[in-house]
Amino acid sequence: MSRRPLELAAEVMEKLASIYGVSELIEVAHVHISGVSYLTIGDAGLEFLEDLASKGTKFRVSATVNPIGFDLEHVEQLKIPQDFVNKQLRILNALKSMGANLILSCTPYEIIDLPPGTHVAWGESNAVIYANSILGLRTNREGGPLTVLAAILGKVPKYGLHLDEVRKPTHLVEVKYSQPLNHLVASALGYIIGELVVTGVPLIRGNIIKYFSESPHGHELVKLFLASLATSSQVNRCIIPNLSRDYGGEVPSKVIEVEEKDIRKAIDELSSGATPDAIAIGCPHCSLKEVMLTYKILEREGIRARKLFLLFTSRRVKEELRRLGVLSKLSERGVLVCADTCIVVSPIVRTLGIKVVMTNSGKAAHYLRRMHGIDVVLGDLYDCIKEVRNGA
Amino acid sequence: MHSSLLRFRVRFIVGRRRICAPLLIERCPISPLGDIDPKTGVLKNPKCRNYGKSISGKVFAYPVSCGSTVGSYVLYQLSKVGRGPQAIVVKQVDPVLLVGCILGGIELVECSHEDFWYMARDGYVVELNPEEHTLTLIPQ
Repeated sequence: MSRRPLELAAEVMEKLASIYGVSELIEVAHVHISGVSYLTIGDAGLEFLEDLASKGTKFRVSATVNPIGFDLEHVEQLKIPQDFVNKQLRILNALKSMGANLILSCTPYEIIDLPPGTHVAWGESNAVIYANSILGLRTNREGGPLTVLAAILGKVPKYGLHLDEVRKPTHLVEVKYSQPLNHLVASALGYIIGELVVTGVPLIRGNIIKYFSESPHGHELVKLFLASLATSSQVNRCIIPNLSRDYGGEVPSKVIEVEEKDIRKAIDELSSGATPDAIAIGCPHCSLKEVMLTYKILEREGIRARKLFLLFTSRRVKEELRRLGVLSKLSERGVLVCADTCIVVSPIVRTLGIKVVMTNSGKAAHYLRRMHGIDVVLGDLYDCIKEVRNGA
Repeated sequence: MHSSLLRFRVRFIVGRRRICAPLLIERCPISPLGDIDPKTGVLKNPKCRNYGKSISGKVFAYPVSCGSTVGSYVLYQLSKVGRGPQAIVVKQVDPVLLVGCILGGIELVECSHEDFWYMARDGYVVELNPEEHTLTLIPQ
């Protein structure tokens, strides 16, 4: 790459604008960079980022960064090869030298506070859909390289979800399900709605909404639901009345009904009957509340993990757990708390020889099958925790 | 005789070089990440008709891209190691490919004529003329 990064970024954004048929670029207040694990971007991505950094590139806007391939604290335990570690650290150094904020989490919405209506450029599908659906932030689903270029230029083409008319609901989804919503159902429901809607802005209606807005763990249900929805579709905004901050009250005429049998079908699609040899929760990264809930269940039931129990969260939550003294207690219970990474973008499925993973996340279930080619069992958080009681 | 029949008006999206190179054409969507080896340009998806052949130095045509956005980096790396295609021709441009071609300095052309996709064959020479906005197929 012989050209100046700023010129390169400007050319990319202008050409993109022209293929989307718009003439304007819009300034963004924040960028969330995805595509940073060495597992997914390989030498190609590493060389691109180092190339940019070597030219003295500095990001124009504040930029946070998605998870990488490991938690530095557990490199040996997770058997991460030295070459992988070195190359991953080179990626981080390049991003840091350009001014990135290394939160290494897929939940920037729990870390960064921005007012509704703010235009941002986020990669990472679960963050994008949460930003548009709940926070009223405006972003399209940007790809890895584009987020880096957006941080350099500070602008993106003004199309898609940056525009008012594209943010209105396109499908009314009537959910006919009367039982309480748990992690399993939230994941499966998001997945099936994504498959049915494919692209557009669904508006959710039905009894289940109260679990999102009233349950003490509603935020965690919303995260799992939206992450699954974005995984099975190109949907980047979903309106949940009472929670979506910038919903204007429009109701679309196109109606889709989802019943219990559809949810069952999604569970069957995502879940096998195999016996798990590892449990993984935290896709998206667990909030502090979710970790504490897991901890309380383990304590209450007196469970000590007899198989690999991986819990993924942000560095910020992990530090908080350390401060509260919970990190060591989780470790005593056999839970390996990993920050900075997740089961999908880490090579640990291969390095630890994991064959079957049980998870509460529809997104993880989808990608573990497709990217890592392993069997998955989808279950509620409670069932995942109970599963660790059974020896491997 | 085929000068008009095999000449198509196209959009030059990235680059404006005059290019004359042999064609390699695929009929299925291509995911740059996974389908193309980033160090050799060899097509490594068995579903590809030209599975095992390299796009390096060719005009590579396929209808549309699919798959991960990381695919852009693959095109960048191919060019960096000097194994990139001369040009890429697609029916419809997408962001992953656009970004990859700009990063890699690879000529990118959009050709929506069904006739081109019907008539083009592997090994035909493709001539790209940015002044006249045309792509010409020259059977060998």
